[in-house]
Amino acid sequence: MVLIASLLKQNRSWILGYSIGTSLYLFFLASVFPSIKETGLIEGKLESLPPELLDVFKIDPTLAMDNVINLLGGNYYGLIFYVLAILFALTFASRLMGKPVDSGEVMLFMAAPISRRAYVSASLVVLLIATVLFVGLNGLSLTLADVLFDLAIDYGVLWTLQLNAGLILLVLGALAYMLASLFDDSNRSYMVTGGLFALFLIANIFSGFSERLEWLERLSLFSLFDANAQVQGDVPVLSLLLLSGLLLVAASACYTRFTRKDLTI
Amino acid sequence: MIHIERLTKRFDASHGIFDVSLTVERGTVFGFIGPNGAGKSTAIRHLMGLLHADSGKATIMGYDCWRESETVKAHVGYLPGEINYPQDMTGEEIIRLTSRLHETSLERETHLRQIFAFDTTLKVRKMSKGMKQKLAIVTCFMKDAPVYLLDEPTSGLDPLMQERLVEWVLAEKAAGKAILMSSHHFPEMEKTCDRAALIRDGRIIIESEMNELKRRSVKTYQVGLKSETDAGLLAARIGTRDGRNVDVSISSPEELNVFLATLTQFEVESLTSGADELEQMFMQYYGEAT
Repeated sequence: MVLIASLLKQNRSWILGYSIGTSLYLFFLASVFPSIKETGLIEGKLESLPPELLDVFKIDPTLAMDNVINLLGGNYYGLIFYVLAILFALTFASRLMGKPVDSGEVMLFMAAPISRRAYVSASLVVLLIATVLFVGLNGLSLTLADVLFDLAIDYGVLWTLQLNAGLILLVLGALAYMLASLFDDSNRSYMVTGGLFALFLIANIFSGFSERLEWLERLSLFSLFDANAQVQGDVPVLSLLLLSGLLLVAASACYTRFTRKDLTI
Repeated sequence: MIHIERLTKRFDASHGIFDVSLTVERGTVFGFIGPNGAGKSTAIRHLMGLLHADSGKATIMGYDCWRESETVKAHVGYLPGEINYPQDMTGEEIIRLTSRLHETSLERETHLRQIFAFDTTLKVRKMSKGMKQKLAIVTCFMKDAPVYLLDEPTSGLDPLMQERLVEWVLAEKAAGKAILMSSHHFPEMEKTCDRAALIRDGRIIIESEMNELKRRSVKTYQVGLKSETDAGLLAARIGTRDGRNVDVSISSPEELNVFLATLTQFEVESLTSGADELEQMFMQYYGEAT
């Protein structure tokens, strides 16, 4: 508990930054949604955009923009969330593995009678708390907006989206942490992990360019978070199961790697 | 208490430690001396369970330093060679966190804060090297451990603090603690260590009792004479001349007696001893290493 509390204290600024920042953005978008809807600007805007661009941003033009969740399915829970998820995972891995090992700060904990397994466990608990805060506050901000502006949000869809988003954050975070533990140089691990995640993103974007490139989507972890499909009533059972499996594998790899790592600190 | 046996860790063909063995008994201080990059910190990192050896073993109080590192660390106070605490924490926060992570003594903490006083309200990023070193000393010794691993403990300390640390280490030794200390600071090694080893290129090249090392070491003296003629005569018999001064190297009590007897035949103006005895000896090896 001491270790978890200490790591949380050291990392609270970025954890709160991501969760509060994104929640404020969602609340703002939700609060202006009724007036946007009245003007019909969204439909007009979508009709004016080329279909390829809509594909890239995973926006379904046939979807009626009569609900804020429908709007967010193509807006926030598309490319914006993917980029945020990548930055969140890189920040987590850098702050709890890459930089502490590179700078030697992790010695404060490694000199104590704490096993490496305990350090990995504490880091993953921090990741879990950061993720719960992120998606939890996102969901709560939309719930609050619904209460205040009567947005008729389907809470089943809203919280399924948060669950799916949370699992994406956890898998990316655990993967980034494991990759960071492969290197002693935090800049190098940052570049390798960032490069891999950027490939996921590029595969996802390019898959929208033409039908012939749709197979690229399967290479991307983000294909396991299709917000538009969920908005249209799809329950992503398979995606959630696959993400849970990937999380288990990535977390196990974190333990295996860090407990065998030579620390030249 | 501390036991390293044929420990080998190869980073590449020429870097690492090779076949290193040493033992530190209860109530003794073992000095680990060597040039930068010789392998001192690598050996200490094995004892802290930070590195996994290719072969050989390291144990503390019978516990394997890699497989049972959690137990080992519960019995060890560690002062790292490079102090890298989280930059945004204050000294006070680090001391409080240490007291929660380790089993520490409030009495020792209070005593250490008095001896190695510094402003604990400052964040680490604002601290000088000496302050960070004092913080590391306090957090290391506030734990009443049977074993201490000290990697260059006086680095960055002023002479007064160095002297206080030497006194503290001697008190811990008297209390029966086993201490492994690496250092470049020869006077403190002479004052505290019972045994010492010199490591170079990852291999221990000398290991002996401190008294034996002192006995074997070369002592240098500089004799100032009244005239250059006298200096020439003395130099012809026992040393090398530099103007009216003669430098003399002595490596045994017999040579010392001959030297003193010879001096009585000259009009001596001054007599000064050269570099510290051990330093003189180890510098020879350092020189060969660079």
